[in-house]
Amino acid sequence: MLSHIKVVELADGLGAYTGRILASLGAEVTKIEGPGGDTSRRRGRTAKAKSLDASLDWLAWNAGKTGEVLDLSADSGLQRIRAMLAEADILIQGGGDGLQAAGLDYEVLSRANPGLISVIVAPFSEAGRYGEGPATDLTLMAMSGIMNMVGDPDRPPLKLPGEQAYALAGIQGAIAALTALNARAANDGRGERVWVSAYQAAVLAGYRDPIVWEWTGRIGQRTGNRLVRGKSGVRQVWPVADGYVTWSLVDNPGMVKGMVALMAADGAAGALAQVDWDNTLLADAPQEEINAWEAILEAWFRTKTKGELARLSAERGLGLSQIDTPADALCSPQWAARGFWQILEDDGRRLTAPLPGPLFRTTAMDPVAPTPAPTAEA
Amino acid sequence: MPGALDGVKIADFSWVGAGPRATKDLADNGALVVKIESRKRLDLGRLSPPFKDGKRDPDGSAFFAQTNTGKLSVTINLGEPRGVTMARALIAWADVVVENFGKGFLDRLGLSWDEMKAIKPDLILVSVSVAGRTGPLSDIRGYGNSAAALSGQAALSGWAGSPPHMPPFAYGDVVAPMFATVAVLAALEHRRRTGEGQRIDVSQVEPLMHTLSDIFLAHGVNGPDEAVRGNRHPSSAPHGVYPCRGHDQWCAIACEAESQWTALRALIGDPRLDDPGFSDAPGRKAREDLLDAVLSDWTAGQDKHELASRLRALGVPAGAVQDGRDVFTDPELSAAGHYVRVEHPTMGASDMPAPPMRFSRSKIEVRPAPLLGQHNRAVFVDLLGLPESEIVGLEAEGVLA
Repeated sequence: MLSHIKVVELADGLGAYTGRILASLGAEVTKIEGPGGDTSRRRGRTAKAKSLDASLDWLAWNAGKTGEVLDLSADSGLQRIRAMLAEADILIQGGGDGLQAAGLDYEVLSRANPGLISVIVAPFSEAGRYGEGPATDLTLMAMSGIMNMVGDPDRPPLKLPGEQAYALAGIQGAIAALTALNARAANDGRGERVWVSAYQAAVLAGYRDPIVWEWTGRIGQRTGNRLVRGKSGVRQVWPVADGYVTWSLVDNPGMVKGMVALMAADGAAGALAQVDWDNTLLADAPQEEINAWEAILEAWFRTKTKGELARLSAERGLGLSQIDTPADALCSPQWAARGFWQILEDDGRRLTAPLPGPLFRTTAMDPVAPTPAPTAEA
Repeated sequence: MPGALDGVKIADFSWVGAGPRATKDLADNGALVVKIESRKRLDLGRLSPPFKDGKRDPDGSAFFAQTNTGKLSVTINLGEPRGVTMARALIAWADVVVENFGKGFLDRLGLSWDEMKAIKPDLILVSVSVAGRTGPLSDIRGYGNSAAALSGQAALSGWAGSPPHMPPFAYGDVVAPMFATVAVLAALEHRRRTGEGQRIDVSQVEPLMHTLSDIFLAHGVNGPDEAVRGNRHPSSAPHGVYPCRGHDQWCAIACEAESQWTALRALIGDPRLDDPGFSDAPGRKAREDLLDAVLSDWTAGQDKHELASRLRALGVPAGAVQDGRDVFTDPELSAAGHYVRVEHPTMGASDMPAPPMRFSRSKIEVRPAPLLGQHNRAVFVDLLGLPESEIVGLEAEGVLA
């Protein structure tokens, strides 16, 4: 879809996902690193069995790109990047407008190439107080309001797995680039400069707590794995014979009756069989009663496998999902049928591993196979 | 300044979060988004708290309002054949159709992809569903946490050694619509170049797995790793949240570079950190329990906001763990124009979030969310050119309802 689009990326950490997304849509992405390579090559997980030129994290975010090493403190480096940007459609910078600091502000670049779109994926807004940081994924997640919701009430707040503030900012960077591409085509062929705030991207993801305070004055608290509605909280995560499933005793009488019917068929419904679910408001039930009902459910769930429960739920519309581990997700027939996992074949590094593939399926384009991330050799 | 997407026409059949968040992005950037709703099947977002004055009102949900800024709302009863005719008129008008119905619903209405293409040959159709429209799980319906459960996200959340964790918000309703926005924008570019439309299938699970690319690649190379859970970083330390003054108050501190650690160590001035073992990141990782204990002793009793500001001023990455009030009142967000005050007929003056980006030439305009069916006349009469008498009749007969 974007095979006609040339992208130049200077993103050491934050912003690298923007280039990865555009590459997976077919764009030609050239990553520029300074002498010695990105510092983020040396952050993250290393391969246990071999020594590589970059962390596995860096290799994941930079697959699908080609690379060039330039010293932007030297005239030759500046000349080279000016020449590249004269031909490019999109420039991505991570962290801030580093080229502006090097004397190549957007005015200069757009005189040579009026169609150039410059996307800056920074920790904070350009107009605000914090600008280019310092910040990391963790500090942005903390500020976003999301960590306040994640974890247990009696333990410290938790981030989400991976680097989600950077991921959200990276996707917003791609949205910014493509929005400007539409404006360029619809108007006069001129590009523009866009500044994306990773902090704001993360705040948008935590969509509930700020408006709850705005409209009710209530401050959200961590509730562990309990879903709190009304007076009581209900469990969301259940151990089963071979792992975990998610299901909740919420006010959907059809689903609750369906589950109780399955338990009754096994002779395991106990007191649940006596409850008039159509006339019980679970949100108002006392916590002790919920706990007693949940104990009966737990005993029955433990006799079943997650696959068995997921199949029964799908047949009857009971709203239960199996909780897949990463290993489960990697061998799930669903993602195999959709060709989601692509195999990254990195001959230079003697590395073969699965990598998430197409962003979505479309009738207009075959998935783009990932090429290995570049080396940092000059 | 024009909006970047002025002139782009979108017929939006989607509801709750997974579609509407995508079309909000597009509307704020100037696209004309017509939201197709029905009183017979209310968008559950309209029933989602918090509400203006605590009163359950389909036009008074703040959740709905912030998810649907700048859209027009029409009501069509798709259970009526004449309602389907009106939907066909909107599809003929649109550049893009967005939907997140259950699989097969549109086919049963006579609005399959082939039938839509016959109405509008260069149409872009975007469908959002839990597991995607193909594969053995394509029939499953979405219930809150399904995407987190199936993506590995829930299993990776929480503390090492503990059961999977499901926080009380639907992250699958956040990431998938961002991918849908990317899809619409890339498809518009493709259509301009080739004249072709396309059908796009976005799963809620796949985008969550995509944002975990680093963890999945490492899993493939090294095998399972419980250390990815919790707040610690695989190679940097310190990297965590530390207790501050007050009940449940915390500050995040993370050192990625040695210069940051040197500044932090000098500020703390605790002799326990004089051990040369703390002088590089691998040494700090090996002593992380002690490191975290020393930091916690030092942060306890300090104000989280003051501490974070002081550390940032020294170049040390830090951020207060903010709750909903802290976020809503954050001066950084005010300076950035993150919340835009709009006047809503039911909610009154209210603050709606803007996209997290600023363009040098294109205008972002955040306008109030529509009342249910507010724009039946504006859309069917003014935009599509249908006779007003016909619209009045269809409203009275419960077709536009």
